[in-house]
Amino acid sequence: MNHKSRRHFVRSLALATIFAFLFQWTGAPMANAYVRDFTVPAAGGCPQPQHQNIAIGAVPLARQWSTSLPNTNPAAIVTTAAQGTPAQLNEIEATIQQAYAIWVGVSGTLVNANSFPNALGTLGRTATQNACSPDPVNGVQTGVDGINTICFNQTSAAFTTGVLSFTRIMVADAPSQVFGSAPPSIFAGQIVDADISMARTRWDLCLSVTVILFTPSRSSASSSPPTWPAPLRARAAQARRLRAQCPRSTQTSPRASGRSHTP
Amino acid sequence: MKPALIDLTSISFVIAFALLLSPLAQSTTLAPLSLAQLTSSAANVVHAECTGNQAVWRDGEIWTVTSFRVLENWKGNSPEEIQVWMIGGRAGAVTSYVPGAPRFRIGEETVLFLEPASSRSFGGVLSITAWSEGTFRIHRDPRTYEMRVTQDTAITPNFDPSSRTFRETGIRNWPLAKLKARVIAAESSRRRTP
Repeated sequence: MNHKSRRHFVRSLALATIFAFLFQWTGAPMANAYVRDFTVPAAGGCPQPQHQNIAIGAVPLARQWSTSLPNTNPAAIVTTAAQGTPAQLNEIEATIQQAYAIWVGVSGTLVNANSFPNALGTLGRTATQNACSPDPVNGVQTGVDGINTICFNQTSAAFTTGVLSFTRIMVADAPSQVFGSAPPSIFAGQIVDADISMARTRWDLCLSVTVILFTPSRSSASSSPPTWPAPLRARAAQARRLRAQCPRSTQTSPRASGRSHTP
Repeated sequence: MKPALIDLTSISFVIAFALLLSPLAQSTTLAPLSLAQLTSSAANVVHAECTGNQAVWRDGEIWTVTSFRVLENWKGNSPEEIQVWMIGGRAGAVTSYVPGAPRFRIGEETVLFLEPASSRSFGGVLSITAWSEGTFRIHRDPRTYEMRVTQDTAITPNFDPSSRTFRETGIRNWPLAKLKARVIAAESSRRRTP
């Protein structure tokens, strides 16, 4: 590198640093105070990226969904099948499966069944309503069970106006930690449980599960738009028609704030 | 050619920093609420300063209880000191991480739309209406020192299912006085409406 280039390099570096500090100065109050995808190990050392146990030989990630559905009128979950029927459960389960299948178009994620065919366990069912949250009566960690669960009938105190769903991710900061009935953690930063809780229709929001579950993450949308199989397009159209039947004041479009957590 | 490469290096530095500092709101689904809807839903709207954070276990769940000193009441009549409960936090060896749940730094000034937590067992503790939608961070304009606000949701692109695109919505860089005027006007309008 000659003298001129070096001078240019130093100038560029200084400029970049100034820009970075300016961004830090102006952007930091809006951004959050800490990077939350990392866990500082209890034993000290560098922050570890949070992730599931994906070591070779590890058991597939357990996953299930709760068949406990809100019994509300109008229905909280709009399906083509009649409410409360086995066909409705099958339809919801098919939708969940399709939501996972969207990730096939995203490289580098564990949820991509093509890249990691054995990473995910079979999608199971549970009839437990509070499979995603602690037992509100006994206050025990029933929801922390090491099974990644999707629940539709949740009454968590965390739900306030406008919050339709959230994901709670339990992360250990050391090996051999036991939480609830989840298996002991293997390493610091391990996600021992990640559950998605969806609110009941407390706020009279008319949504279809199809739309909620097919809302792709920012990462998937920006890299390659998910491809919907034809039957799902038809189902989505039907869901839109059903949503159109909702009172005008309750029509809301769910929005995913940012990307999903990639295990 | 080298200078061009170097310029790219500097640009990549900036982008890398921008990405590094981007907020990590994820996998939380919110119903889009207008400012009028937020005002209507909230029991209290306050301009407050964070004074502390504490993680507690409650009903088998980790919560972060953030204390605020109320500087000004815009709606309702909050006491001088309030505590706001948000799900998630770090307690002992475990971190309960809930993407999209607002967190606050000591000394940070915010405008918060608050409502009682939905569970009766929580006995009326306060939580934030629509989480990041009901959270407005205050910063000062570097030139004029004017206080300005940005809604938490304004810094994350949100997915619009109808157009299947991500768009940045929310209030960004408004003067604090403007937000206050809009909130008060929305509340007045709501009261007038039978």
